[in-house]
This record gives sequence, C-alpha cells and structure tokens, in this order.
Amino acid sequence: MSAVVRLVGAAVWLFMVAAAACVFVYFALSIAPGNSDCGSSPPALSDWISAAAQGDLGFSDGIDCGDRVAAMLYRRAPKTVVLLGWALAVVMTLSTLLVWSWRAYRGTWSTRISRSAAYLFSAAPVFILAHWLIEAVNTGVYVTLGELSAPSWFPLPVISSPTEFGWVRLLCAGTVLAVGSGAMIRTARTLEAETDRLMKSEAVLFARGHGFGPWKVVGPALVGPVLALLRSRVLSFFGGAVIVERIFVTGGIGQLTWDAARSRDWHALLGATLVWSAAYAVFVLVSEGVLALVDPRFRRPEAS
Amino acid sequence: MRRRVLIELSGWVTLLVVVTLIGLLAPYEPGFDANTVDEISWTHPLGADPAGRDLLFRLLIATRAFLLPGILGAVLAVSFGVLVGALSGYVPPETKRSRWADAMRWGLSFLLAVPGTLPRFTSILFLLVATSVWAGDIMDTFPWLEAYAFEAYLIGAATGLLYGAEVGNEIRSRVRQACTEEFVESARADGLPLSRVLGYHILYLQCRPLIYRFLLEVFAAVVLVESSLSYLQGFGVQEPQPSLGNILIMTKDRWRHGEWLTAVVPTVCIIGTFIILTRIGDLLSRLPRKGTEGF
Amino acid sequence: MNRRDRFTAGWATRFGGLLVAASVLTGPVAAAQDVVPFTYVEDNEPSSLHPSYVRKMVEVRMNELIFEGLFTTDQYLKPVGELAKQWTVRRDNKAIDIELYERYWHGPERRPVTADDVLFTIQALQDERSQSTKARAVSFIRRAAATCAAGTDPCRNVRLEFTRPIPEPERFLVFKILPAHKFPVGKPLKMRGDPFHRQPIGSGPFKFLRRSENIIGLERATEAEDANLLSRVNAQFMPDKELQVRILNFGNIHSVIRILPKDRAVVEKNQKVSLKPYSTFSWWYIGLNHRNPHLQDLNVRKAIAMAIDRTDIRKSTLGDGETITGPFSPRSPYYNKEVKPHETSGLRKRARAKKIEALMRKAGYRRERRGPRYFVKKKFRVNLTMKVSSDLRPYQLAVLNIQTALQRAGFRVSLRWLEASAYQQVVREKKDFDMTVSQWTFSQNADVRPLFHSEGRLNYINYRLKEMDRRLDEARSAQDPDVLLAINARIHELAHDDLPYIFLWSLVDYSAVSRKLSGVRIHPYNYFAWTDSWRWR
Repeated sequence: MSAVVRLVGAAVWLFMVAAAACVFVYFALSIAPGNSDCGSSPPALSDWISAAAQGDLGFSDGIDCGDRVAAMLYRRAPKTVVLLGWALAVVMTLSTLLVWSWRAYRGTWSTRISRSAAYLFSAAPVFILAHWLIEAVNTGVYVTLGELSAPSWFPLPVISSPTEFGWVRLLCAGTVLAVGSGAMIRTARTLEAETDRLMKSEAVLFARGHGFGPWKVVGPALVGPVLALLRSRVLSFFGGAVIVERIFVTGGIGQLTWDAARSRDWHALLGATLVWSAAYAVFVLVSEGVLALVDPRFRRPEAS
Repeated sequence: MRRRVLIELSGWVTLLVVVTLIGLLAPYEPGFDANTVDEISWTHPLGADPAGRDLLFRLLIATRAFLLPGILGAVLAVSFGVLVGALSGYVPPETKRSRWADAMRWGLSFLLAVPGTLPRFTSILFLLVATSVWAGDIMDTFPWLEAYAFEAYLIGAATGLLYGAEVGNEIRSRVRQACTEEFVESARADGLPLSRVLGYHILYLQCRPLIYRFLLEVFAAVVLVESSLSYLQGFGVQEPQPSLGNILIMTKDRWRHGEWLTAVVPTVCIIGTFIILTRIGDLLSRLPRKGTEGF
Repeated sequence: MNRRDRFTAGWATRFGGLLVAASVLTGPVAAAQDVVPFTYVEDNEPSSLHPSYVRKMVEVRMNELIFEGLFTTDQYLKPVGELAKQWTVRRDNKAIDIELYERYWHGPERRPVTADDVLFTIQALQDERSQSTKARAVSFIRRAAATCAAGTDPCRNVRLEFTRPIPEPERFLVFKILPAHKFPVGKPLKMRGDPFHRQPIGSGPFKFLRRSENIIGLERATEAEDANLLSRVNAQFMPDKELQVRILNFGNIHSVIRILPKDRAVVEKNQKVSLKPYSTFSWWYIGLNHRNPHLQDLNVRKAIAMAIDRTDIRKSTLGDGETITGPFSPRSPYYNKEVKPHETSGLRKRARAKKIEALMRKAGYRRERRGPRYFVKKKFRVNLTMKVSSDLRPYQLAVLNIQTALQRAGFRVSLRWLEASAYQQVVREKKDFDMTVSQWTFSQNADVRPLFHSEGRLNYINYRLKEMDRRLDEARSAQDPDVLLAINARIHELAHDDLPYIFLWSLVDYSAVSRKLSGVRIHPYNYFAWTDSWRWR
C-alpha cells in the first residue's frame, strides 16, 4: 500500500514539476527577440495551458506553418525513441563489458589499454565523433561497395525517400551519443565504483559464508544504482540528441527543438518541452516502480 | 602514493593555469588579425586558419572562452547548490519545526526539481536564445568585454545555475541523511551552533568529495556546452572571438586541402582538454587523506 | 576519388564487412529502383509551401516547381506566358486582357484552372487580413474581372485593370495562382494552420507527393512525353555545407543549390558534377544607420567606403562577381557603368590612407594616441556595432575581412551575429544597429524606391534625402522606358555620391549539377523555371 501511495505522490509531484518546466521555457522564450517564421506572435501562456490541458498543442509557428504540433511530435517521436533507446542500450552494454573486463583482468596490459581507449573516445565531444563517423562510414562504403551497388541509405546522412525511417542514421547517431562527451567512461566508472562498493559490503561476506555467489547479492542491489544511472543518462542524452540529430539530420524531436528555437516556433518548443518532461516523469515513475519490485528496502521502507 | 598523485595533479593544474594566464594576458584586440599569416613558419608554428589568422595565437586566446567561464560556472553551481541544498535539506529536530520552514523547504525542493526534468543542453539553449541580443547590448556598453568572450560567461552562468539544481539535490539528500545521524545530534547537544554543525560537520566533512566532483563536472560541462554551441554555429561565442568550437569548425575540413596540422590541432586541443579534466577528477578522487597512507 | 582520398580511406575499409551486412538488412539497393529521383540539397527547410507566404529562397524554388504564374521569363529574361496563352495590353498601359491556357490543378479531380482562380488569388493577396508576404505583388491591380460570355464554362478570360499606367505589365504578373476551390469563399488566407502550407496543390510541372522531416518528394504532374525528362524530384535539407559538398562525391545527390566559394576548388575536381554559374539579381551592401551621429556625416561615410577594398576582399573570400557602385545589379539595364568606385579612383593603398585621414579631419575627428589609434571626436571614439544575420555565416570570411579593414583604418567595429529571426526584428524593425552587412535579392523587377525613399517600406537605415525622394518619385511616374533608364542612372549616381549604403558587390553564384543531366539552365531567381529542358543522359 505504501508503495502505491508513494508512487501517486511522485506522480503528482512530477506533474507539477513538468508544468513548472513549461512555464520556465515560456518565460525564457517570451523575452527572446525575433519573429517566428510564419509571422505569428507568441501565444498567451493561459491560452496555451488551457488548450494543452484539452490536448491541443496548437499549430506550428515556424517549422511547418501548416502542421499541428501534436502531429509533428507524433511523427518524430519514434525516431527519438529509437535513438535514445539505442544509445542507452549501447552505453549500458559497453560499460558493463568494460567493467567486467577491468575486474576480470585487473592490472594487466589489456585492461590498461582498454581503459585508455575508453578515456580517449569518451573525451571526444559528440560533435567531433559524429563528424568522424560520417566520414568513415561514407568512405568505407564507397571503397568497399562502389557507388552502383551501394545501399539506399548511402551516403550518410542522405535520405532516399520521404517514407524512409532512417535506421542507419539513427543507429549511428545513437552510437555516437552513447560513446561521446564522456558518457561511456562516466557510466563505466560509476558502475565499477558501485560494484566495488557492493563487493566489499558485509552482505557479500555473509552470502559467501552461506555458500552463495556474490552476484546473488550484488545483482539485485545494483538495480537501484543502475536505474539512477539510466535516469541521469537519459537526461543528458536528450541534450546531446539535439546536437547529433542536427548533424545526422535524423528528423527527431532533438532536431525539432533546435529548429524551433531558431525559427521561434513557440508552439513546437512548448510542445516538445511538455512531451519531454512528461516522458521523463513516466520514466522516473517506471523506474521507481521497478525499484519497488526489486529492492526490499523500497517495498518496506520501515524495515531498512 | 599521495605524493605521486599530488605531483601529477599539480602538474596538470599548473599547465591549465599557465595556458590561461598566457591567454588572458596576451595583447588581443578582436578583429585585427585577418590576413596576417600566409603559411607555417617559425613565428607561426601552426600556420593559419582560412581567414589568415595565426592558429596558435587563436588557440591560446580561446582559453578565455572556457577557463574562467568554466570556473565561474563551477563556483556558481556549487555555491548555489550548497546554499539551497543545505537550506532545503536541513531538518531541525521535531520540537523546533515550524510550518513556514517546512513550506520553504518544500518550495526550494520544487525549485531544485524543475531544471532536472529538462535536458540541460536544451535549457541552456533556451536561456541563450533569450539572452543573446541582450548580451550584445551589454557588450556595446562595455566594449572591452568583447575581447574576453563575454558570451562564454553567459554560458558559464547558465550552465552553473542549471547544474546548481543538481548539486542542490545531491547536497539536500546528503544533508537530510546526515541530520538523522548521531554525530549531528551529539554536536547539537554539546551546544555547538547550527552554522558550525551544518557548515563544518555536515557540508565540509561529509560533502567535500561531492563538491570536488561537481566542481570538475560543471567545469567540463561548460567547456562542452560552449564548444558544442559554437560548433553548431548558432549561439555562444561568435567570430571573430576565438573559442575551441569556432576554431574547429573553421579548420575541420582543411585536411582535404593538405593542411593536416591545421585540421588536427584544434581537435587534439579539445580532446586533450577533456582528458586533462577527467584525469584531474580521477586524481582528486584517488587522493588519500593525509595520514591514511596505505589505506 | 583521387589517390589521397583512397589513401585516407584505407583504414575505413574495415568497416566494409559490417556495412555490407547492414546494407542487405536495411533495404533495396539503389540500382534496383526503376525511377531515379532528381535529388537536390538545400540548407534549410521551407516553413511553408504556400506561394502567398514566401519568406525564404528555398520556398521560392519549390514554388516554382509546383505552381504557375500568369507569366514567367524565357532564357533571355523576356516575359512569356505561363498560364497566359494570349494577352493584349491596353494602349494606355492601364489594363491587360488575358486568355488562359487549358491547364488543370493537380489531383485526381482534374479541375481546370479558370479565371475564378486568378480573381480569387488577387483578392486573397490584396486582403489585408491575409497578411500575405506577396501583397505588394498585386497592389497595383485596381480591378480584376472575368470577361467571358455568360454560360462559358470553364471561363478562361480575365481583365486586370491597374491603378496607374504600368509599362510592360507582364513583367509584374508573375505571382503564383492559387486554386480557389481549396480555400473557403470570402475568407482571408491563413498565415498558419492551413494544411495548404504543407500539402500544396498547384498547376505547375510537378505535384506535391509526400513530405517527411528533411525531405520533400515531388512527382511530374502529367505523363512525360520524353522518358528522359525529370519524373521525380526530391528536395533534401541539410544544414552542413561541408557535408553537402562531401556527399556530391558519391553520386546519389544530383545538385547542390549553392556552392560556397571556399568549396569551389574541391567541386571543380569532382568528375561527377559540373559547376553551373548563375548570376542572381542580388547585391551586397553595408547598411549604415543614418541616425548614428558619426554616420550622418558624409565625410565619415566616404572614409568608410574608402577603407574597404571591395575588389580585393571579394576576390580573396567570395570569388567571381563584380564590384558595384550603386544600387543595381550589373546585369540590370539601370546599372550606370560610368560611375567609378570610391576607393580605386586611381589611388594606391597609402594614398587611400591619406585620403581617409583628410576626410576624417575634415569631419572633425582625430586619432587616439594609444593602442590601435582609433578615430575620436570630442573624446568619443568611433565605436560602431556591425550586426549581421547568421544567414551570412557561410560567407563569414568576407564579413571578417570587412571588419578588419575598417579596424585597421581606425574605426572600432564590433561584430555581432544575430540569428535570422532576431536580425529581422532588431535590425529591420527596431533599427537598433550602426552598420550591417546584408544583401538584397530581386526578381528581375528591381525597384529601389522602397530602399531609399524616406517613406520606403524597406528604408530601415533611416535614410532621408530630398533629392533622392524627388528622383524616386520621378522614376515611379515615368512611362517611357528610356526616360526611366536615364532617371535610374541618375539615382545610381546619387546613391554612389551620398552613400546611403556602402555598395559592395554582386556575386556569381555557383551550383553543382550532376553530369548525368544535360540541358541544364538555371534561372537567376527562381532556379527551376526552365526544368523543361533538363534531361537525363
């Protein structure tokens, strides 16, 4: 019961926070100079809120004068979801592998090399990595396949038709996002530190004493930290998505955010903010729920 | 161990400080140096960017656009975060609680939560969209600000404030946790003032590693945001004022024209900066406390 | 691909194996497709495909493919009928009778283009509530009426009457015609929120097919008689200019609309594309705010003009083009070739510096003792803010060179890049600037009255000169083309002497077009006006 109450409380809290974020964006925009590309003026906050409450996000002011913001977001959301999902999967897989190899081969040369390589890649900002990746993929495909037998998505980031989803561009962008700007190394190090801390804890000694393997204890205990890690990753990934989506021209919500800021598309920006903070709230709630299912301390807080 | 770490740490910090000082003290008047360099020579060891400006000089001046702004951001984030975090996290004993203090704590927690729901990069983008023209007006009033990359300070401040919320959240939970622990209770019982307990026992002794970590993280974030924004060519430090992103975008495709050095050096500088920052962070976290050698 | 590229690419071949697998998984190969769409790359996306709300050049180009006007221009830039089959201009130049071709709107219903569509378009554009950006294109039309006998269906005859005599009215009747049946009767056009912005219906050679983020697909509207004509067109949007040039190497892109001067050498080496020059009716200038106390002084303006070696800057940063001396493109008949530029009237560099010194002294300025020795007047330094739209970012080298030239001459100039939307508001509307570098792009009807008349719509520089007003008024009421020519030559001369702007240059733009195409001719303004002659080899 207490978990349900906690979740409802968290939902209300997150809803209020999301609304406040929209208001923050609105005020930031209302003092920004510039005319929208469709020649319209910014909406009144109260009008926008009452319309948004009824599910109407209005028409775009700059990116596409004839389109509804809700339709724009609906079309673009799958791309950003794929991008972020792939980035999260890559970063978690890579950093798990790294941590595993660092722990398994502690002190050897291979560990040192992989550690340095991870540092080096992660030190490159996403925009540099994106630039390199585009060059490398294009040249690689051209050299190996030649132009005539090249696949339809080639060269990057060209689109062959309006119906194309752009998987390759999205996966490339996601990979860059997962590795660059310190994302991978930071995740790996946090994971390593958490594992080390848990491995040294009394619970592990206790489990070993009873003949269990340490992972029986460490595994569930890692869920909390990993979820917290995912939460912070997803936040910074969305910021990074604005950059990689612009470079890879993926046409997702990140690109929309940048374009909307440049063309003073008030409605699209507010809509994107709303969608983003709502999605984040859902993400947080789900992770809280998962945590409550996995971690006994969350199920019965009085017992901890 | 401690000695070795200290030596390496001071080496990196000295490098950063020296480069910053050179960048800050070098005579520079923006907009004078176009078409001054033709090719690589002893006086221009890295050659020129496409506008004919000495690349080495521009790289040095580019430190103005990230070192001090980064420090500004880090200091702002930590001071804002610590202040608000401590205020909203410190829960006095049951007998001394008042409704007003509760409301204030709730309000502050709310304030800290809002920036957390938005991706930081986009929030900074919005803040810059809002303030870019206004920043130009300030530079018109104080023209000397221009040579010191005023826009970068704006980015630093925006990043600092937004990160401040995150710092605040962490500090808040740490302080809240500390409030329940025995040493705080006993210190209060001993008659130590609140400021001493909160300031020294909780914040200094308990939260110091956290604060160090955040100082570096925010610093790196400022550099990253600044270079990303200049690279995307919309906001941030603008030509002719050099910044790492500005320089990179001008030189990144020069290798196609055979100018490898010009193309590679700015990239190396950016990556090098981040490596140094990560390394400093690492060293700081590995720095054992005095007298705990061999811990 | 040259040897060096192959060398640099060597290591990247390792990706190859992975990519072969990826390509098999991700869809059909390009060679298997039967119709190859003509794909061209633009820098930014159109906000609207509605021809009544054109704000960017990318929209002009797309509209040219989808819509038709009453008239267009042939390759000698003489007006020819597009929708207009036959026409007669009344002798007093105050009305025109037009008979339309038998054309049909895109779409399965095949509705004919009728006089009603023309009347509706004019009325809709003239309606102030529409807030159309094309309102000025029809402002001279006083009355429009269908002139068919009763019962003719569909009616294809219209008469347009003008507010004043318009010599050669065909030149001005180039606005695109809208399908009346797609809009509610008696209501203004919608600035936003109308699906027509997104899915336009026109009568032009191509019909709108599909749109997604970053790409718009068009398809030939009628069955092509020649299989080598372009049957499909894709417009791609990609902000990174370097990438645009880079992907030209790989053959799936057939045209990049504008190649920057710095990339020209790279593209020239590319065997797959040819560079097509096209001179636009556009010219660059430095706009001076005439409210600024320093810039009010003609001597200062002259000194500034003197300080900038336009030919040198253009050649080193922008490439082909011509230095201009007045407010017309050198291709325009109004351009006065006898006017000589300020800075190169037989003066060498040092002599020019002396002249600047003399001019500034005459205006009451002297140099500071310290630092870069800027000019000061009564302890006030000449401190000018040059605001430039980020649209000119690709040409930033030229802007930087202008700044440096001015600084070296002794004028402190701060450069500020504003986003395009902020630029529009801050510079054009609030007039909050000292100098700005910008360019005007005209269709072939260059009219400078809005720029320099004290009541001109585009006179955002606060320029006011009685003599100029008088001449512009004369030019407006002139009937005889020769008289107009003479008046415009005088306007040119006056603009050169009084320097409302510092006139810079008119450029030759280059477009990269695939060698797989032949017969490519590019319209200087609309770009795609002559696609009927484009053929696949």
